Amino acid sequence: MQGNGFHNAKLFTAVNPAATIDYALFQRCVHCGLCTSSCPTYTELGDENDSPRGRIQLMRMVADGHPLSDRMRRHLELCLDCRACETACPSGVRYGRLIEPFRLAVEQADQRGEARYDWFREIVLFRLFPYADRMRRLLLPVRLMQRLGWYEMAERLGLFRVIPGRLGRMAPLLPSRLQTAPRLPKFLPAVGRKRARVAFFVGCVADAVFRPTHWATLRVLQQNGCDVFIPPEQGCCGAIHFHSGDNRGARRMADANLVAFELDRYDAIVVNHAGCGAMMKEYGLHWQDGLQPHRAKFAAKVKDINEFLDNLGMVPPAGRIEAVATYHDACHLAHAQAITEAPRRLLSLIPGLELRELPESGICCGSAGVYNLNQAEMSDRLAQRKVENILSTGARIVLASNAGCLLQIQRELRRRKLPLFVMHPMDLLDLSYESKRPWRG
Amino acid sequence: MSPLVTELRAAAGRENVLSAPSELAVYDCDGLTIERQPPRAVVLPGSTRQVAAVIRVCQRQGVPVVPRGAGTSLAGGCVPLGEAVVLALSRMNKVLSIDLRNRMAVVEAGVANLQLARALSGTGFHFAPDPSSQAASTIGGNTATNAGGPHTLKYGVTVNHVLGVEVVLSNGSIVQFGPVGDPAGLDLIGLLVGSEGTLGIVTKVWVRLMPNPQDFHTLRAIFADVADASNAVSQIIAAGIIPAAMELMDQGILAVVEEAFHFGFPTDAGAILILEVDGPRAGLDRQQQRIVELCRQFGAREVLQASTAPQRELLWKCRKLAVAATGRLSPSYLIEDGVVPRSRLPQIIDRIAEIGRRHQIRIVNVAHAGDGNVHPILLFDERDRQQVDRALAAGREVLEECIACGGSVTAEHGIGIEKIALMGRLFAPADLEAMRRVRQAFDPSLRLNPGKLIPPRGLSPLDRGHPQ
Amino acid sequence: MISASQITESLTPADTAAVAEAVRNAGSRGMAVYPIGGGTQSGYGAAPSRPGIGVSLANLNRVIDDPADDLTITVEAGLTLAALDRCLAVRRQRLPVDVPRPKQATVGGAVAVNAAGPRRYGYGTIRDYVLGFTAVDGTGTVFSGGGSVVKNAAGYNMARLMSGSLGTLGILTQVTLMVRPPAEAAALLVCDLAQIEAAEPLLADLVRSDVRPIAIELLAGQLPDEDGLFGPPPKGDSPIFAADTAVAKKQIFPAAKGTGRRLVGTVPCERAARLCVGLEGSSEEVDWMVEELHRDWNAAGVGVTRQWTGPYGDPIWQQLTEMPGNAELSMEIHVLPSATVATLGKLLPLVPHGAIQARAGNGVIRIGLSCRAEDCRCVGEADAVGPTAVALIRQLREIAAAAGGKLVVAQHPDDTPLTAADIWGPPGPAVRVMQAVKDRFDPHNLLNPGRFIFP
Repeated sequence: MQGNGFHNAKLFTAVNPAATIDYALFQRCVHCGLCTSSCPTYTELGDENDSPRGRIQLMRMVADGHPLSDRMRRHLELCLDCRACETACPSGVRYGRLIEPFRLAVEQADQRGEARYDWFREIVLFRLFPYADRMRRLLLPVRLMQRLGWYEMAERLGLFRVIPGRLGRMAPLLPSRLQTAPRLPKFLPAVGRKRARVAFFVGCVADAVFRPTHWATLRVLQQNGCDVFIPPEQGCCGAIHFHSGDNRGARRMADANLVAFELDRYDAIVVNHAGCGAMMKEYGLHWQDGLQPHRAKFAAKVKDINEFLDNLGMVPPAGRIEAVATYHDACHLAHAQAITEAPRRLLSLIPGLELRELPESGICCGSAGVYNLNQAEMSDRLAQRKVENILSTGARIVLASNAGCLLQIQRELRRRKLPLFVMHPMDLLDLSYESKRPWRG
Repeated sequence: MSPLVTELRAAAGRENVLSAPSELAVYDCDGLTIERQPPRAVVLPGSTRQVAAVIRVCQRQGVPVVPRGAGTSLAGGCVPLGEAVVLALSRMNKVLSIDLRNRMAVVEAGVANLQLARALSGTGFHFAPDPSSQAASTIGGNTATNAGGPHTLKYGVTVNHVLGVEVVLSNGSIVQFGPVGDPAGLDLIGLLVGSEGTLGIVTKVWVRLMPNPQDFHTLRAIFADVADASNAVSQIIAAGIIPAAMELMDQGILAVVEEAFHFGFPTDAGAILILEVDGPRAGLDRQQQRIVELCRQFGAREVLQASTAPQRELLWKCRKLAVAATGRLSPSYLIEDGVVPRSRLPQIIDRIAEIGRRHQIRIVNVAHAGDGNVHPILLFDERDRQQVDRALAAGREVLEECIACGGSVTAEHGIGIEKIALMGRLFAPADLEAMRRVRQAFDPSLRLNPGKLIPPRGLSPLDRGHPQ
Repeated sequence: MISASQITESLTPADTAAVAEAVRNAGSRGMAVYPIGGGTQSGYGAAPSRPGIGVSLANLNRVIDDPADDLTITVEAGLTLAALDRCLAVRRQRLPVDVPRPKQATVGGAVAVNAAGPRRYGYGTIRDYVLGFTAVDGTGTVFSGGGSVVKNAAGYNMARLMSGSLGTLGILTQVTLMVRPPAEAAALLVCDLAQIEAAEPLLADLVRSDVRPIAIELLAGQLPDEDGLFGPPPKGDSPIFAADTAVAKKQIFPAAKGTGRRLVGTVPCERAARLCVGLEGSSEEVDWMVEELHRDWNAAGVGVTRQWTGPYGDPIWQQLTEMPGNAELSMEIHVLPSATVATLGKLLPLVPHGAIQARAGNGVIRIGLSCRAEDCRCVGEADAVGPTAVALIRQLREIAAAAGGKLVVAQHPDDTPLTAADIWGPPGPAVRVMQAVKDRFDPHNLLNPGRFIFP
């Protein structure tokens, strides 16, 4: 530890990372502390510097002119931005609106300063992940290796561990059997009486890794009387850029989607992964320029698939699935979008399914966007905690409405060689509509 | 690095000691934000042994120790006065055992009240004290303040639900009292509960578990004004009925709660009561009927039953999070914790309104009405010094009024530093001297949470808090 | 145990100031002070270490404040429990704590020994009802603690400290109690068990049942038989009485009037026990719980052999409170509730003629012995007939300790030389702190010297 632990003081005399934050947002926090127990990092570490109340105080200190020390920065970087604290906060503190711009400003200041070139961020995060086609091409050899059984062997032998850093953590995140599925069409017609016209948001990583889930979602929408449009020009929602500090990149992605979706043609833009949905619902908040009203209008049309079907009134599926399942609340659904009951209601319509409540369901699984790549240790601890809770329910099927959660939970289960099924609620609903089961026999 | 920090690291492990000023600042206050003082160090021990080692270090170095759970005290009980070391028990957060046969659970002090509740879900048992801070506040903290909550009306406060404690005394020795009763000695468990960390550091608690009631009905009674509602409460108690809970919210707080949680309270209601009856299903209807009749007789416009479990939960959420939700109304607030004999409830509610008008401070009220426990919330803006002073003066006057009614200045939040100057109003010098003797018996060098609970001799009731 | 011989003079002060004056005077003369309430617990504790002045609270017997609508009452410490009950009954209120010999026992005395009876399981001990008090410490200083509101977190819980301190920290002169509305209905159900071990599954079931007893009494051994309740188990099918109180009195207490207590017959205790479960609540609740308990017990293969219903107050309850009232040597063991039956199983063979009453829900076992029986010879050395009292106490204390529990002697004969250590057991972990508290409240050791754990 050096001196009093402050450095970079010079940097922030020029740019205060809290400068763009409305001070009244800090003042909304009355310091009651009721948020602390909702915070995954505080629950794990017990240090109030790693709690929402503590982090707000740290940021407020910086806003008041206190230099940002390395230690403060570490506490702020350890935040998952899961926003469980927003759900817990009685006073309505918009924590995301504090931590997100703050971290963005810190990242930007870094780039302006003695910017280190972060190849992972520049190449993998910004040039690869947001492009489903590139991802799929990259994953082609993986799929081949999996089919030949080499991939599992490599995993068993620990070969991935020799791949350094964040790239090495990515390999075991991939599902053990990447499934292939045909490309999505531009349009799918409603089955039966027509009840709605919707556009479907495809996304990037989700499309590369979870295309079968997309198909399942589309079939469920069709079964519920929806004409589904899949505009081919659409792209990534921009969340990866936004949460990694590339504000401009994020805006570029958002604006490309404004062009791709002809809003007036659809009743809703339906999205099946919570991370994308949460980002798009906030399009209207992040950038104050001429396009802001258009982005706000776009955001108002965005609906999570669970929310959409629940509002529409879902046609009950007929196929029995005799199994015990548990539902994990993805942070970006439960906390960012306040959707917790809808998926449970939908799943409860599956005949035969017993849905058991997951303890600490609202505590982050540690995936949190790219957090699992950047904050490996905390991410692993949270994954372990999540799986312990899952096991306590005795469920055989784990459901979550977000790609990151599915990957994270799957990886931890695989590491422990536990044969649980991890799937999206739409996967299970689709099976029920199709009168199939997740497993044979 | 100071010798103190070096020794603390040796005692509790390097990873369990915070000493960077920027990290200490986060521990400079609790839920009471008008009194702040950063600690000299923060220790986050992982075991009772480490707690004992830390106490010994602090004794050697002559440094005060301030225990802290979740830091939700509303009375400044966790503020580290006198450059103290904060001993935060948040890492000791394991539920150690649940023993249903003996209706008992053993938890480390840092276990959150709600964490215990979750651990007990499905067992058919619960821990009765349910303070509104229960989502975060710890069993250790509940024990230190003798916490209450809405359901203490029928089931009693924390002291009625603690069967045993493991405690580190001021000399660093570790002792256990209970969980088996022992008539051969003084009731030190009862004494430690509510002692605000001034007699010892509680590290482990054996709590009593209560069987869940077979059924309960939750009602809301809507009144045109708060006077009618408080009168109805007094009448229900006077009629010899003790419901499981009887909570009051006035119009001011209802507006905030409605904004936050969208329950659907009528906007023109002057006050509502939340009433709960519980027990064997067989007796509930008649119990409820009597209460409904009394409410109607004393002015309730409407009495409705929460018909579904989610609705009941939302109703309780509204009540429990009401205080913290006032951040929506005002940048700062001061919440008081006055208590009066139950028949005086209408009188104190009336006086609170008058005091608010006179000091030009907006006051909204929630109350554990069945216990005569009022929580007036005084709203102000901390940047306006005059407003702060007016709020403090109004708060003090409310509490003096409670004393005048034969009540007390705190029912469940504790004295902390916030109300310490009022102890001299509440107690005679000999009464305070008796408490000082107890304190000296436990902690002769007065190192444990100094400046809290008991005023120093000669502190005038008009002084603001502790000597700085 | 305090006997008249150690009281050199007696005072009967009329108010708190006079009590303080008496203590100061005694202090100036170096005399010990023995507070005296109703005298019902004079056998509790060890013998005084020196003679001293008796301070009777008999004249402090007024009701100071009775704000009925607050469900609290403030009384002087010398008021008897019976007088308190009468006063509360007028308001349709009560203190739901059972105290033996309520006509003599005083509120101050009950608080000093932390009294509790069968309903301890449902309502706790008197400590749970003391909101505030006034007392005189060992320097003759008057001090108060707590207050008169039902919830109070201001300062230390001094009322808890005083409750159960046996008058060694101060002489209570005034007490504020929390009171409750009476229950509308009550019932007491009894079943006979062929073996003591059969009680454990029934007790474990009660913990999980929707039946919420307020009293769980497990009786074994030889008990005074006033009414057939505690006598030998009936042979064959037992009649079930669902009578109202008046009828019950007629049928069940024909001999009770004026006959006083008598010891009759013996039941070989290792083969028999009786479980009494007390219920209270609204009439609907009690009716439902009675039915439910019948169902539970039938399912478990035991039948209800006796049953009383009607409002609380039936003499049968008081009998449970008084037991084992006529014993010359009585002990109280505290263990975890789950260890009650196993502990009983171990100790019963050692006291074949003892009267055993367990508050099974609380893990409190009370053992009453008659010194005339062969159980023990209370005076003198061991002989061929039985162990001496001291040896028996040690044996039983070991059994309690093995179960993680404690044993204290509650009553012993005048002429039995029991030391404080025999009575209270080995000092607990915090004896140093307790002594430090004692030293600060009674620096000259005037109050009840020798009787409690303090030398």
